[in-house]
This record gives sequence, C-alpha cells and structure tokens, in this order.
Amino acid sequence: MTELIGGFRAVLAGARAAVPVAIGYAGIGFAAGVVGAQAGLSPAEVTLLSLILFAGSAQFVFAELYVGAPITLFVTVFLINLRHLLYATAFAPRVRGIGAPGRFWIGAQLTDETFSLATSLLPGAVPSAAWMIALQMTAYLSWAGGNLAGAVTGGAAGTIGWLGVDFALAAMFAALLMLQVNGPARQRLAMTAVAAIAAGTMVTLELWHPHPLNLLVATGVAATAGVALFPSLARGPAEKPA
Amino acid sequence: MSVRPEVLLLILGCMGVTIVPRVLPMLAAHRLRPPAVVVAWLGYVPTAVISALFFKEILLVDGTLPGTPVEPHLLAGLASLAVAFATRSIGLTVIGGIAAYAVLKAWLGH
Repeated sequence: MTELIGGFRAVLAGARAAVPVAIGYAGIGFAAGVVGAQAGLSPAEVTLLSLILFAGSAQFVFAELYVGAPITLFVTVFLINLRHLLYATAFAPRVRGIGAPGRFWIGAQLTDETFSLATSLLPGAVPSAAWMIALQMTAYLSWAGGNLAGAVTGGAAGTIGWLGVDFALAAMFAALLMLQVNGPARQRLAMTAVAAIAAGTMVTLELWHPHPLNLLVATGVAATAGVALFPSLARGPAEKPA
Repeated sequence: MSVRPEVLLLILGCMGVTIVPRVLPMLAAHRLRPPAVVVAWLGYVPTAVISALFFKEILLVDGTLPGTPVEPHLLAGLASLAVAFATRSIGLTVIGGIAAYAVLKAWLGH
C-alpha cells in the first residue's frame, strides 16, 4: 500500500514537472497539426503520426515527404532523429536501476525537451520509472492533443494568437540553461563555453542552411570543443554524469 | 477520420527508424561503461542542445537575424534569462517569459 502511494506521488511529481513542456507542446503541436492537415493528412492520420512517432521535427518532415519515395522519407527521418542516440546514451547511466521495460518506455519517448528538462532537474539518477514516465506521458498527451486539435480545426482556425504560448519552450530553455551552468567555477566556465559554442554554431548553420540536422552538428561541435578546451574536466573518475 | 493503409505503413516505418536510436542505448545501459572522456563529452550534450535551441529561438525570426534588437523574441528571451537567473525556477521563468513575449508582441505590433 505504501508502495502504491509512493508510486502515485511519483506520478504526480513527474506530471507536475512536465507542465512547462506540456504548455509548449500544446501550442507547437497545434501548429504541427495544421501543417499535417494542409499537407493532406486526415485528423486521424495526424494523430496516429504523433502517437506512434512522437518526434516534432520528423513529423513536419513526414507531412512534406510522405507523398514521395518511402526510402527518402525513412532515411531523412532516421538522420533527423539520430540525435536521440546521443540523448539516450547520455541518459542511460541515470536509468541503470530501472528494469528493461521501463528503460524501453523511457527511451521510446525521449525528446529534445523531456531529455533537457529531466537532465536539468535531476542531479543524478532518475528517482523512479514512474516519475520519468509520468513526465514524458504528460508531454506526449499534450503533444498528441495539440496535433489533433490543429488537424481538426485545420486551415479554418487560421493563425490563432496563442497569447505567447508559443514562447513557452524558449522560456523553459532559458531556465534550463541557468540550471545547467552550475558546480565549481571551472565546471561553470566549461558549461558556459559549450553553451556559447553550441549557440554560435547553431545560429551560423541555420543562417547558412536551415536543416533539422543542424542541432546534431552544433551539439557535436560544442561537446567536442568542451572536451578539448577543458581536458582536466574530462579526466579522472570523479566526473559527474551530467 | 480515415487512415489510409499506405500512410499507416509509412508512419510505422518512420517509427522503426526512430525508436532504434532512442531505445538501444537505454537497453544497453547496464553494459555501457564508456571511458571518462566519452562520459565528459556526453555530459556536455544537454547544455549544448538547450543553448542551441534557445538561441535559435530568440535570435532568428523566420530564419534570419532581425534588423533590429527591439524584437519580441530577443527581448522576451533576455527577460526569461533574467527571471531564470534571479529565481532559478522553471515555472516562474515560463510564466514570466510568456507574459513578456505577449506584452512585447502586442506593444511592438507584430
């Protein structure tokens, strides 16, 4: 019984932690639903797409490419979502205590936002599978709900003034950035340098050629620069996992 | 409200190529013991992703740098950073950021 209550508390805490993501996902999910409907997908197809794929940028690409050659679609989606390999590898040490089904579920629902949020909130391991799955499910349902609403109202709704809701994720990232830059002075300096290099690379790449793969490239460049510029932090067993 | 079989197949194919990189490292979590330098590299991934997404969002409008710094995304982004620095709270930052963005957008007439 106490276990059950503990689990329930973890679910509530995880869902509550996901609220900033859920707000942002509802707004951007709505936009993605409108795009899907305009590309000729039915509301049911748009909703299935978000329930089965659950990957924002890949869904925009799907709407664009699904009428063409399937191989182009699959390769493009694979490349765009390859960054999740990085997230899952970086996140894996935090879920060592969780059983295989729980790890599978957590991995299957990793997104830019849930990964960023959870790694920023947690100093180390995930407190429980229930907490993490509740966080991700909240984001997931909000995303799918936004997609459905966008697809159903479609072009008829036009551009709805989201009262600034489309800025929710940007604001959340501002807070996560502050949470990431912590620890001893040298660690803070390294994190600031990595953040600056990632931002500079990303903005340069986007100005040159907007592409969903730019995020993967910018992340790789910045992480490599971090290791190269701060070799003392990359050595020794006292390294923290995140 | 219909689902075409070929569209469903395409969706399932996309899921296949998406779920493997998401899940594989999680399932291998017990066997993964990467060297310290790789651990450090992976440790920079969240910061890099967060920073790249944030600055793309506030600096670029429709894919380009706006001609003026008096721009809702940029100003609301800086306001969000200030709130985040002062409060260290995600909730307050999101509320503050949304409010700043809505007000700036209305005020600057975008």
